[in-house]
Amino acid sequence: MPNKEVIAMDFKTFLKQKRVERKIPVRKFAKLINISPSFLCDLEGGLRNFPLNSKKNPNLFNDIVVALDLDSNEREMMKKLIEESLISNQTITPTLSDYLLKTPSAQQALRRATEANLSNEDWDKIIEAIDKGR
Amino acid sequence: MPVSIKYSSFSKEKVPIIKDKQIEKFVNDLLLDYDPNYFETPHSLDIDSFIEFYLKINLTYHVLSSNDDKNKILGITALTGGKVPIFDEDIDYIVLNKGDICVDDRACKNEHLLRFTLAHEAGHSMMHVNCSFKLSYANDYSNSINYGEPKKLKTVSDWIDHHANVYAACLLMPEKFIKELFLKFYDPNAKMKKAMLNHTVSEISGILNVSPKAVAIRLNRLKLLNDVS
Repeated sequence: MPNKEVIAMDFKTFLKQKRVERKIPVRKFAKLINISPSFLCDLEGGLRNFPLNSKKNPNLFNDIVVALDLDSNEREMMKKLIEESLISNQTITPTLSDYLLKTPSAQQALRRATEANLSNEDWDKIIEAIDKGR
Repeated sequence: MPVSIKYSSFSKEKVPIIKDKQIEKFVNDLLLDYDPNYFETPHSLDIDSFIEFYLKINLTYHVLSSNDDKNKILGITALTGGKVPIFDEDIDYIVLNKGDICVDDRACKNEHLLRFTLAHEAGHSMMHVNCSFKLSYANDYSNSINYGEPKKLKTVSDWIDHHANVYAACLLMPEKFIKELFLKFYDPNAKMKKAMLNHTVSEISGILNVSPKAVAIRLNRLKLLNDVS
């Protein structure tokens, strides 16, 4: 069952909250993760998507993990929140798009789910079945 | 944060009349509330953490002027709040709430100017937000930052910039630190007075992480240079 707190939180809120909890000011944090202060403010303000193919810092995700000293659960939460923020901004991560491209059955499953208008609760049951089958 | 500043009178434009000494006391009280041991040893203030985590002012960084603007905006404080045009790539504006500050770190040519601009904007946020004079934003250009040097004050902007400059000078260069460091480094018996003064200013500038010009103006305002020709 998905954690409701995760659904309520978004990436920009997560990023700012974790930084503020650790009392790292904006300029210092920006320097730690090799981006400009204004780019960091754009991310925390939800003005900009997480850059998937950043030329300035291709290791941005890992740099954030290290700078905030995120544990494995927080790391996974941040990854999920980034994906959700990209989807809500009509962008899909390369991981998901690559999987869909090479797995026609997954594409078909999504189409059937859309036609049947599956709810979040219906998907929770499917996810449970997937986790049991692993 | 229990420390606040009280206004006893206002100009006809409704700008609060605040004396420099009043601002000095206000800032000293803030620093003691921030850290009861603050004045033990002269040191530079972590202005970024002070603004964000003690004053709890919402501080962001954005590009505030276009490439074509010769006179760049260094910082802005929202006195009432609303949309502010910015020039970040692909983003046209941000929304600032009352008291929020935004600084253009790229327009501030060096760390000293950036630190003073941060302190200056914090001054506006602390002193000018709940006032009745008609100004929605304090837009600060390079000529707004003058380290508290006396100048003719005519407009509402002149007055509030003066308040903010005095606030910033007191915050980054508290009187106690300046006097202590001046006594430590300045040798009144030195034959080459100018060289001795330059050395003193340079040492204080390094310890407090402010520009030599800011130190020189502060020393002058505190009348420490009266015996120095």
